[in-house]
Amino acid sequence: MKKNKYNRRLAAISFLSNISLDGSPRSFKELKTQGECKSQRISSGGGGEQPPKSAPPVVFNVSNNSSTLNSSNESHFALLSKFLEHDVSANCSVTPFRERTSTVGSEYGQEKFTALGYRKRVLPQGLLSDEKALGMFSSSESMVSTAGSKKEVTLLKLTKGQKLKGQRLVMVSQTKKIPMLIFSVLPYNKFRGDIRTMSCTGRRRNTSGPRPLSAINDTLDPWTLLGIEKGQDGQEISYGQLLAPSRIIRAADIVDAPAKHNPVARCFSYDSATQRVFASSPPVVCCENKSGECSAYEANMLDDPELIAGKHKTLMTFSSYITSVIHYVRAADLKKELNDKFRDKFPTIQLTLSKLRSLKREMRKISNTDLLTVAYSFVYFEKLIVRNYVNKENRKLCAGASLILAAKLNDIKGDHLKHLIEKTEAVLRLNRRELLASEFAVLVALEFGLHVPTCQVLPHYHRLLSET
Amino acid sequence: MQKYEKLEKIGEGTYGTVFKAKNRETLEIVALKRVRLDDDDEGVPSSALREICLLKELKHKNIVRLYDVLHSEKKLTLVFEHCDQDLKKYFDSLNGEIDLDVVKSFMYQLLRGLAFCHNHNVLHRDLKPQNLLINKNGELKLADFGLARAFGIPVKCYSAEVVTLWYRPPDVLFGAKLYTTSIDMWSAGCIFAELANAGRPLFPGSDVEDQLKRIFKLLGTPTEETWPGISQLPDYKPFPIYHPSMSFVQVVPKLNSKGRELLQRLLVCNPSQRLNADEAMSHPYFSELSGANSNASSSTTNTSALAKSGGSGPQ
Repeated sequence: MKKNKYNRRLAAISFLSNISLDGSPRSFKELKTQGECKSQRISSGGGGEQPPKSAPPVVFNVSNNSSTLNSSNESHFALLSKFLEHDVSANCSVTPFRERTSTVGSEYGQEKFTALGYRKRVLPQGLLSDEKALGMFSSSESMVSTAGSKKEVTLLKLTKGQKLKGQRLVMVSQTKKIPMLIFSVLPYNKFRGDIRTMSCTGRRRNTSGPRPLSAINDTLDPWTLLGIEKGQDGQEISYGQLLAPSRIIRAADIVDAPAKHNPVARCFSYDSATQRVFASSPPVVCCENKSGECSAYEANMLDDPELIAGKHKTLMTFSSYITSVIHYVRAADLKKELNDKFRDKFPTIQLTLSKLRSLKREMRKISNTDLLTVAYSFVYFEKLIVRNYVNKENRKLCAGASLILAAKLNDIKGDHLKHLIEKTEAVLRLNRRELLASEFAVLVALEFGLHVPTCQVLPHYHRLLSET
Repeated sequence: MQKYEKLEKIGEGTYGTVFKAKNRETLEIVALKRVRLDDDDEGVPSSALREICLLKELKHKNIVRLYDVLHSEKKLTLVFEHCDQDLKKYFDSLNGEIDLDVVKSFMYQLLRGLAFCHNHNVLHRDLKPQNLLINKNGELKLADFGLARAFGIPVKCYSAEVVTLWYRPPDVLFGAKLYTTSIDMWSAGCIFAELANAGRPLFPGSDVEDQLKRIFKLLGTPTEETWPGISQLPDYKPFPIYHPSMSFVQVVPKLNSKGRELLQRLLVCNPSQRLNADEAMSHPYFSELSGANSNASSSTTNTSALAKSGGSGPQ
């Protein structure tokens, strides 16, 4: 009876150990929920060092002798360390499952099904569930097995403020050291889901989107793509009408403006704590002061920073604090929901929110050292979108041209500029001639309005800074 | 090019050629800046971009007007308001004599144009007599915005390779990558002294080190006390401690005491203590300008002032 119970436990352990929660676990820590013990290490690999010797019994508090076999706590630890050995033994039936588990990480939603699959397949032939396995575990010597890589089990005492990041943890019962719970702590990254989506589903869907390089030829004209008239055969076109100032500062404002070196100095703060509230703080005031053009474009209007969790968020308001719980949701579902919301809000825009965000990420990748240039390019690109110039065919050209225009106005020159143009070609997979030809077309589409108010740029800039 | 008839070549700008031309319809005289667009180049030159995008927002009587932008496959033409000459050429015609009312009028117009730029978040970054245009009416206009840029978000990535050496402030000479309107105020100070001396440049340095030496010899070498953070500047290196041996009376002998006081408050090594354009405009030096001049119709006063300066004004 007890033996059977232990078998099952072993099987469960072997099953649990094979769930990859965070890719490939590097270290392994046992979290002792309670206890007076210090941190301990058991080396289970390599030179045949036996766990019992390195683990003083005091620490393991061998108080329970009721367990069958010779299952001292040491063997539990050996057992735990066993999890970490990818190829438990050469003839191990677990190996094929490991291969499958490696994909589980990207398909969270299917965990349940795969789990069932494991169970069925592990139990009948599982190494750990048969008599031999028991025999093997009865001797700690055999425990120090054939493993190639050296893994560590660390016994932890939970202290306040301790960081448990990127490690797999197993909770064990206090007395018997029986594993109760296995989990990993992963750093939270708000864009992780998006990126994953991009690399899996996104890419696949994209095949029809960007033209393959071979298809880029001279017949595609950036002007036509933007829907702007262009001079025929060397004919000059006058753009004088676009030279009207895009924002009129009323004379009153200038007279009233206090004498100061930097008129916008009060609009920003170096305090990182205030970054979150920028959308509603001083820049808006400075917008209102200036003129109507601002109201046509606001930094967060398209790519709303609040649009990340969709409906899968529970906001809880307590008397002294507010907390929100973001529920697990499949990346694809969340993406669809956010894109639907975006489309409802901007029905005329021929671009999904996820596409906009992925293009912005690529723009940032191109010029990741100069965030101010990136911030300006976001303003230009989003203005093109708001004005409905951007479609599936020209979106990368528009993004690339926006970035180059922003760079040129931000003192990027010489080799740096050359490098930036090359990187834009490479990352966005654009043809240089088309890219440069679209530069002036984009300039015209923006009505030469590259000198945009600080309040339109600053929120982008702060978002970029906070996401660094 | 049909709309404009080219008359003569005026010169070579930072990019492309500048022509004087006549609008065939209106007979208006304009200046054309022609920019060649090469395929394998880097697209539209940034100086042309800056001029187009910044001058679009800067419509002011003391800032040269950009009338039109003509674009074709191979070239880009910027059509500017034409002015008879620039301040440099004006100096050359003076023979060392200048009317002090003209000095005051030009300086005031320079500051007024600059204040407008600064209030619109634009730094000129290349103020010098060659880039100040003067027309028959004695109006002064800021021109050549090919190095100008927007400011407002302080980032240490501004180019330190700006402003012609003689008019470059000490902080930028030390490689400062973050500066503000103070950069133009230093240049304005240098131009003020040059105006008062009828065209003799104040700090005609031969290289960066000589430039700094000339500045420190006149103003005294700045220290961490007078200019906190100076030694942290990228290209900072210690200079001998000079003590000013020359008074401003010797530097600008013709300028009155109020003028000297204004000059001294513009030529401050520590950029944070330099006067800004609005403050400079309200300096007592300009209080003697007639009310008409300081407001809208400055051209009449200026013309009379120029007339007084012995017929050596612009033709």
